[in-house]
Amino acid sequence: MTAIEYNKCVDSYADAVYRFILKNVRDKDKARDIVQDTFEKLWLKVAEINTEKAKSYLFTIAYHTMIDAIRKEKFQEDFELVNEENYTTHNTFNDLKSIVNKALTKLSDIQRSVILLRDYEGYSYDEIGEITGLNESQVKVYIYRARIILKEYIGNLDRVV
Amino acid sequence: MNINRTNYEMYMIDYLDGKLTAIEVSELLLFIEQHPDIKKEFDLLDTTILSAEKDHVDTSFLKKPVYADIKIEFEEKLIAYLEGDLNRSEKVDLEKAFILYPELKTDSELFGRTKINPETSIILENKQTLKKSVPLFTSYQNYLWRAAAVLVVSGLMFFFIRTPQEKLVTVKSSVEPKTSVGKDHFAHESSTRPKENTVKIATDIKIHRNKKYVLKKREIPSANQTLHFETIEEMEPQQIVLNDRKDLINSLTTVTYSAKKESPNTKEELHFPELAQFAEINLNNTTRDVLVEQNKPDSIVNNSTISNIGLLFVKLYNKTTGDDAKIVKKYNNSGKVIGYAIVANNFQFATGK
Repeated sequence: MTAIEYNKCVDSYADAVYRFILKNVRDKDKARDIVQDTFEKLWLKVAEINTEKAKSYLFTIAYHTMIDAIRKEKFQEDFELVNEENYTTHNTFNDLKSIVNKALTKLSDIQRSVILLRDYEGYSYDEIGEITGLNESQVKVYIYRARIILKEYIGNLDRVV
Repeated sequence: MNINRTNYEMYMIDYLDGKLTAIEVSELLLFIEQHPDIKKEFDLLDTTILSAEKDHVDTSFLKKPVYADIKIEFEEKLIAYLEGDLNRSEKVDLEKAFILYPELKTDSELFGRTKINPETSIILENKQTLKKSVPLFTSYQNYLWRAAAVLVVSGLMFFFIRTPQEKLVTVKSSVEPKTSVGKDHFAHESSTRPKENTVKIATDIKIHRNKKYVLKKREIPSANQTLHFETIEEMEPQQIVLNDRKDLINSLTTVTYSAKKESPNTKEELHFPELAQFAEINLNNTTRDVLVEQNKPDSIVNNSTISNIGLLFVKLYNKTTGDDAKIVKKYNNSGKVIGYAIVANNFQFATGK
C-alpha cells in the first residue's frame, strides 16, 4: 500500500472504525485515541498490507487495541453476565436508536463487538472471526446470544411502555 | 331422592354415566348394600362398563406443542432467518410456522429491531490529522524505484546520446543553446531552450557500446554549483554489472542504497515532455498496461527498449508513491544534450557527462 492509498484509507474507514470503537467504549476521547493508535499501527505496516485487505486489517487492529485498552484501564465493567438490573426499564427512551444503544450496553464486550461488526460493517462470520480471533462457530454463538439479549431487552421495554 | 326396586336401574345407569351428584351416589350405594341381590346385578354391570372405559386410547401424543414449549427452538430459527443463515426449505418451514404460531410474528419483529444500523452522523473529527505526507522514502520498494531511476537514466543516455564520455562537465549559465544534439525528436525543444544555470554534474555512470552498464559510486558535486542533483552516497554492492536487460531488472531487486536529497527548485525549468511522449509512442501498450496493473517489472524484459523501461519505471514510481516524477533533459553551454534527469516533487535523479 502506498502513502496515497493509506491516506485514502483514512478518508474511507476512519469514521467507521471510530463508530465501531465509540459504540464499544462509549468515550469519545478514548475512541479517538484508539483510532489514532490503530492508524499509526497500520502506517508502520503500510508497505506490507494490500489495499484490498486494509479495511479488515484496520478493524482487526482496532479491535485488539480496544481490548487491550479495556483490560489495561478497566474502564468498563464486565458485562458477560447479564444481571437483573440490565432488564429494568427507564423512561428516558424516546426512539428506537436510544433503546438499541442502551440495549447494547447489556451485552458483553465480545458480544457487542461481533454484533457491531456484523450489523455496521456487514462482515461474515468468518471475517469477524479473523478480526476477533474467534472461530466461526464461536462468532455465531456470540451473535445468537447477543440477539436474544437485545430482543428480550427491547421486548421487556415494549411491555412496560 | 327415593330409590326403590322400581327405579333403582335408572339410578344405576346414571351412576355409571357419572350423572349423579355425590349425595345421590352415596344414597345409591347404600341402597345397593341393603339389597344383596341388586348388588350382584350392579357389580356385573359395573364390571362390564368399566372394562370398556379402561380400553380408551391415549391420544395426547397427537397434540401439537404450544409456542411456549418450542420458543427456544424457534428463536434460533428466527435469528438464523435474520442473519440469512436459513436455506430455502427452512425458510418455507418457518413461514408455515408463522401461521401456526401467531406469537412468532411478534418475536420476529422484535428480533428485527435488534438489527443495528450504523449511525452515520457519528464521524471522527479532524481525521485529516491521521493522514501522512507522502514521504520520500517509505519502504524498501521506493529504494528500488530510485535505483531503477538511476539505471534508467543511464539507459537513456545510451539510447539517445550514444557517445560515451567519462569526465566531469561544467555547464555555464547565461549561455543560449546553439545546437541540438541527440535524437531528432528533441530538436525543437533544444532550439528553444532558455538559459541554464551553472551546473557541475559528476559522471558516475559509464556506458559502453558493448551493452555492459557499470554503475559506480558517485562523486558529490562541487559546492559552487547552483543546480543540484541527487547524489548517491552509498551503494551495495558498490558496482553492478549489467550484461543485458534481464540483469538490469534483476539488479533492481537486490540493490540497496541511500540517497541524499538536495534542492529540487529547478525541476520545472527542466521539464521535457517530448521524451516521455517518445517513449510512450514506442511502448508496447499491452506490456505497459500489464506492467502498470501488476507492478511486475519482469514482464517488460523481452518486449521493451531500455528507454521504454525507463519511462515505465517512472510511471510505476508515480503509481506507487503518488509522486509526479518526470524525465527531463539537460544541455551544456552549446546546447548539446549532456544528460537526463528524473525530477519529482521532492527529489531529483540526474546523470550527465
